[in-house]
Amino acid sequence: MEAIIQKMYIMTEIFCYLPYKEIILLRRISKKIKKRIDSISTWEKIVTTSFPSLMFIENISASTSLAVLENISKNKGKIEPQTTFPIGILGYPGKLDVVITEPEHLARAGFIGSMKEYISYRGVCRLCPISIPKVEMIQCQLRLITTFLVVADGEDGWENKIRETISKLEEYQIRKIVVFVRVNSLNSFLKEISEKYPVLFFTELTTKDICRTLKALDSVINNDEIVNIVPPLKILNPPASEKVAEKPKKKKCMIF
Amino acid sequence: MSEITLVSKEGTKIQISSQFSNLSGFIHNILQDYQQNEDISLASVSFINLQMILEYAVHHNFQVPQPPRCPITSPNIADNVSDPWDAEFVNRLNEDQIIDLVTATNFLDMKSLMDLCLAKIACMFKYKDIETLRKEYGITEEFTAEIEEKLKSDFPWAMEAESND
Repeated sequence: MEAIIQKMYIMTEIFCYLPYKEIILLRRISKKIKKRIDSISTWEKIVTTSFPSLMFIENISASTSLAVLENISKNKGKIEPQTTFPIGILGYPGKLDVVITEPEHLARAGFIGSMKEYISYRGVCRLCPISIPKVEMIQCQLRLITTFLVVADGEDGWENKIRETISKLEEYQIRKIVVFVRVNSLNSFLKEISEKYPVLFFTELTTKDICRTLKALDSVINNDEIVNIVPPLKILNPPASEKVAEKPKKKKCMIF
Repeated sequence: MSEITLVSKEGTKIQISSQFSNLSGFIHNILQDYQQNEDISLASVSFINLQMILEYAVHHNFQVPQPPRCPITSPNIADNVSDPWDAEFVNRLNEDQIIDLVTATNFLDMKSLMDLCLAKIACMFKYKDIETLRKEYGITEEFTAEIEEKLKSDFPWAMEAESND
């Protein structure tokens, strides 16, 4: 047994297989493990340094999130100047390097509704992959921005999941939505969605990509007119990208 | 099908299909400049571990299997893997053996088996409260009451979830 605790200190990959909440709880086991878990913050520092316009908070309590969501609902989507909002990152099964921000907060607010099947009894998405960079991602997600990032990968049924999520967001009068999906090319569904919301898609997604995407996302949030953001990512679908350049005000599809 | 010769750290030789490179990044890289009949020395892999690794590779027909569910949803590894054989394989190992196997698979850059072992270890922690874990792992109280309080207040939502359980 002792061997595992000792090795766990260096085998950060073990944390990949535990939900974020359980990892946080493990900080209380011992100083050594706490130190290891606490050291997983490099990426957070990089992001906050690189993107000062993205404010950062330690965590958002369930009650705060609930209040925020209620506030959105009451104000029919209007954003009060002083109100802060968490980004809602909804993850789906697969290899995507993104996880749900605070899913149980959304679930408690009735926000996820039919997505409850994806929520474990702890309220943590049981299907979202979490690894060390992903744990760092969770921390990075907790930022005060107003856009909901709907994330999916190319697993079966992802279109319906995106559709369902967007529908839920729309029910709450949330219109600032960015669809973030890992597929090889734009299909008819994404084209349809891209008529209403920005769509970002990748064939591969790394932490660096996410980092760059957040920068792009930040621009989306702060500029309603923005239609063609090309951060230094791989351009995977040049023809579609050219279309964006040709009709910048109509197309909101960003292809990296 | 060509075969390669692997040599464990004890010097024992084992012949295996070169398809093993599908599962091991280390072997894959070695085979880029491989001379026929050349032995491949695995200085960090014991004979016992090598046998287990090859058993796993043969069972999966040298193809990368479905990874364990991530994060795990149950403390039972069988609920987190698609192939029951994987669960049986890893369940018959004791903790020290699992750790050794992780080290060996790390050396071989054999992600699929390493993931299986790590998922198994994560299962040992799943749904266990701090006191149970401390007791099981023989960890005596390390934090002062003050620090303990701070740890709870650092992430109140995590503690909230714990109390809900």
